[in-house]
Amino acid sequence: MPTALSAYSPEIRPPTVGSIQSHETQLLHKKWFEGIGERYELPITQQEELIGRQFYELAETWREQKGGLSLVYQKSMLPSYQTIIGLGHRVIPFILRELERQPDHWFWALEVLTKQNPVPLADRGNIRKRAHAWIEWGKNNRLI
Amino acid sequence: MPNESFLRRCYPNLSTSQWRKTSDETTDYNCIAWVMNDTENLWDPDYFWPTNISKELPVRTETIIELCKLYNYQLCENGDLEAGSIKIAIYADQENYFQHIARQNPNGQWTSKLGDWEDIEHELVGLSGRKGSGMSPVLPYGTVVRFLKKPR
Repeated sequence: MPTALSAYSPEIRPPTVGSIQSHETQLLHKKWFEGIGERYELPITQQEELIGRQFYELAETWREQKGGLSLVYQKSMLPSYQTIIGLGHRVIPFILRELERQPDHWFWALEVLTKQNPVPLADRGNIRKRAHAWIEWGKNNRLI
Repeated sequence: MPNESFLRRCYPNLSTSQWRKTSDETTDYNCIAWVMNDTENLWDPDYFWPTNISKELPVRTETIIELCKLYNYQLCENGDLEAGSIKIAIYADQENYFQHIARQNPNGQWTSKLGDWEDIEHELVGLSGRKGSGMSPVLPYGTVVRFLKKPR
């Protein structure tokens, strides 16, 4: 399986068509570079940047759609929220930072992704106390 | 915070009925909590929920009726204003899944917490309508399917 480093291997070069950078050649190079992401894993920092960008876009869509809904399962079943869960465990720090910024219904996603629930039973109904428990959990686990 | 024009697009019947905002937006409580006079907890199977009430999802209208009965509400015929009674109205979708609950004010109007948005005072028809009939694919709340009341 190709690794992140192999994308920078000297053996792998963009295709060349003669020595003249014709318009067609430039397009070929552009297509080749665009294809890198499909063929190779991105370096970890870029992966996190990509996940962060995806998270904030999806979270914005989710906030627009979930606002008037009465129950949390209705909000959690929205495609944007489910797609955030589908981003996997690397999205957890972004969710925790968002929770730190503003308490919201991120607990379903956090419980699914971490298989944890640090919230005392007595605090389960209070969104601010729940957010606080998760933020502390995130700090204790060096995720934020 | 959604502005009034945004809310009218989500709940088209607000355009043809009387209503006004009565609070700021908050995620601290929801419509069930508001009806139960609790602004500290969010009443939801995933948050605060009475232990002997079903947590089955999706939440059925009957489940909410059972919950309200725990707090002394009894089914009644209509939402007409009655001296000495507090009435509540349950909205459900076509499959009878719970969507929303509102409480009657002493002036005969109804008060609702709109999900994570604001509280509003409104007419019952204002929040009714088929899902997707406005701008949002998941709003408004369907129709009022049950009324309950308890002594004020």
